Amino acid sequence: MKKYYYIYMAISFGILAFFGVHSAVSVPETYSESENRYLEKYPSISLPKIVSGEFQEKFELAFSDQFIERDNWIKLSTCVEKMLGYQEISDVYLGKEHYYFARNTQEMIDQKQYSKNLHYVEHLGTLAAGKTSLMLVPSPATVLSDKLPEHAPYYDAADMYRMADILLESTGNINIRSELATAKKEGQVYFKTDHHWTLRGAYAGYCAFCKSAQLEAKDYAYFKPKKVTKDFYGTMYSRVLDANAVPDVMYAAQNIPQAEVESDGKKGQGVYDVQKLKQKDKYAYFFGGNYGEMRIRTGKNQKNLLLFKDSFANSFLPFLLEDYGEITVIDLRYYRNSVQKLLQEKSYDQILVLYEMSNFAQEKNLYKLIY
Amino acid sequence: MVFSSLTFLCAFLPVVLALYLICPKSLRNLLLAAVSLVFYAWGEPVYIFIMLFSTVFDYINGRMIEYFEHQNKQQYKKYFLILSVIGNLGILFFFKYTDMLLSSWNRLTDSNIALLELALPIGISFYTFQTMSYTIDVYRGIVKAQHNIISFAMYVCMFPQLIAGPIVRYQDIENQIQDRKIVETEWVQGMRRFFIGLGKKVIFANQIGCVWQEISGGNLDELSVAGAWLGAFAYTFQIYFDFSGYSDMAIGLGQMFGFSFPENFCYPYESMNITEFWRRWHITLGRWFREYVYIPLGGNRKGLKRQILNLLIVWLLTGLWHGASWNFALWGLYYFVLLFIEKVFLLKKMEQWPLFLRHIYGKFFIIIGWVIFALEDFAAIGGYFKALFGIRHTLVNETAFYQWSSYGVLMVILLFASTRIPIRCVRWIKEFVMGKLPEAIRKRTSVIAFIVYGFYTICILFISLSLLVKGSYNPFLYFRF
Repeated sequence: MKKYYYIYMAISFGILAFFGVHSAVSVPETYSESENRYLEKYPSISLPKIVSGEFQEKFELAFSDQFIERDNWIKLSTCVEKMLGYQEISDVYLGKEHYYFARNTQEMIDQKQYSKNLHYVEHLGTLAAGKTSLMLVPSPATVLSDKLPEHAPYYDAADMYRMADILLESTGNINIRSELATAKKEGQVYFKTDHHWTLRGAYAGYCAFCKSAQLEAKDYAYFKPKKVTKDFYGTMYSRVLDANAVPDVMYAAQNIPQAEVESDGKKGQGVYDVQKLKQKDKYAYFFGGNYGEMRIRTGKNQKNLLLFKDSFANSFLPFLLEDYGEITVIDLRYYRNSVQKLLQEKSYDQILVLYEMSNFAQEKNLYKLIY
Repeated sequence: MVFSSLTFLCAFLPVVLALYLICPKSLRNLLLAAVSLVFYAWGEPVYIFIMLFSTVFDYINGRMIEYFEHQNKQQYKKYFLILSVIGNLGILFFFKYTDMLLSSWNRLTDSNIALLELALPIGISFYTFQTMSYTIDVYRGIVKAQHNIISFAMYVCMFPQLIAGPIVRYQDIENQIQDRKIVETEWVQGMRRFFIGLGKKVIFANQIGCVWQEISGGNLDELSVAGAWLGAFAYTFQIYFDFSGYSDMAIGLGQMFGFSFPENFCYPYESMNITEFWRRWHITLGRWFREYVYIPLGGNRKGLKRQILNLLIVWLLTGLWHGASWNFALWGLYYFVLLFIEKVFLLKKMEQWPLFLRHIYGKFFIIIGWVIFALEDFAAIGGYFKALFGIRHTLVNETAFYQWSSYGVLMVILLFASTRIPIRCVRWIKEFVMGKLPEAIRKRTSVIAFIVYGFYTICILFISLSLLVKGSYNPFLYFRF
């Protein structure tokens, strides 16, 4: 019997010691691909840092970030939490059919910020009346509410549109719910593992925009959508690391005009950046990611468009290349210049503000529209 | 440092266990004292000096009391006891209660005295009580004064029970301080117990703690009755599994170092009345107050009126011990009233009640007590009670449906885990199921049981580690103690 006691002593001590020694001797990683974030590095040691507790705090963070096989540990924890019957993990709802939805309840929507932002957009609208519109893309779970866990609380997109209707006068309010509802019968409109819309979802947005801008929308098939990857694990997956997740298939429109892309003053990668398909965040395939200012020229015609946007616009933009000879794309999160100057420089045929709805409601950079 | 952290589990603990094994017996107290200081300084690099002061202060007081005992100068002996008590309580009072009194004073008189805004040194309520137990017991002649300051420092700073108990009186481990050894069976039992405690904390308490956090942190006006009760159940389980998990870890660690610490919890939620509950909840604290406050005040020996007064004092102090906020005083008062009623007539009367009614009575008042304990401000307590009892609140809403369907399974698991039912099941399997198996297997029952139990505890370790790596919700509940 005594033998067994020694075995247990060796195993239990060995496990703890092994993980500790491994962390001590292994070369620290700087970036986690699967979690999409930089990992904490071990802090340098100094007396003031110890006295203030900063060293200890950083050390604990780094120790956990650098823990051996971090991803697999998180997968185990997700597995355990699912077994306990959890329907959400790290603020992500575990939806049906392998959908993952960011948790955005009514209380989590900052109504004050939302109406403030609507006012900024309306201000823009008064400067260019009749040409300005706002397109809010409802969060995936509001369109695919049947895929949410039963009774899971979520904000109401219809309410948000209603509020925009009330506050916007000179700005058009493009409601794309009915287009998305139609599109979702044809195929998948949002990714399962990512928070973005799929090409088909973006196409629904394109149709709604065309209606509002009095353009003729082309058929989905016209753009010759092509599968560019079938191995996309997006941002929602990163938060949950569920071993049972199913990768997404990503399509991109092929039949689009040649375009010159200038990103933050430099010649960009073009509309599609094939390199980005090799990394984890494959959505960056569209334009290579987000830039403060991007100019896209096709020379197709003399019409131009000014677009204020978040990343949802990236997969949507290729559809518009036929219709606008020049598109100026501003991402206010990274844009440092004056929007007013931009408006004075030239006149635009159309101005569009395109954001994902919950993102728009919490965005703190829209004030830049009035400077 | 806290036990439920990767740094403790994979760095501190293996190093300390290894050093302790190879360390010569004569140096073990020194080693434990030294690593305990590192353990404490990791989280409280500055406040470590308060603990060191406390150590030296009571070491001297103990020696002086002993000295005047030999000199037979009872008067001086008493002075040093009083000095020790005032010193310890003074430190505790200064760090813990000054701001509470100042802000109450400000509110009452509309004045504006600046608060100290000092962070409370972690574990101060535990180690000041321990050192006081030492000087008081030296004074009473129950224990001998410790002459070796290293051994005494080891007793005061010992990391296993330093930050969340159990409150180990000096007399509990007086002999073990001088002489103890590592026994394999004890070591293994200790490690297993440590893993079980870790699981209670990380898998149970932290997980259900999220639920309470979410419900109590949300908009109380929109809370439904079903949601409010879910929240109250959640906190009830969180505090039990967190606290008893810490005690298990402490006792287990102690066992690995050759100590035997007193038990702190005995399935308190099985209790059918409040008197019983307090005999099974935080046992070492109740014992401390009985021994060093209630009995010295006269206990029940000076008539009923005096006994009631003594109980009132003890329960107000018990309440405030848990945190410097008036809701804790209310919580203490609440238990005083319940215990008083039970003492006067209810306990006798309840003997005729059917069993299920007694269970409901016990659980109901325990849960209500935790709501008072968990919510600091009186307005929140009032609002929460309205939700619990459906005063202008709906019975159930979508959110409550969702929360119950998400956490119902965990709730049932916790309900069973907080009772002796799992242990009884295991015993039943060992005795009846194994007994029916062929002789060859039956002979090995203890080996099989050992392997299964060992495997089980290692699984708990892995699951706990996974949750810690992920960095899920992991609060420290005793920062106000």
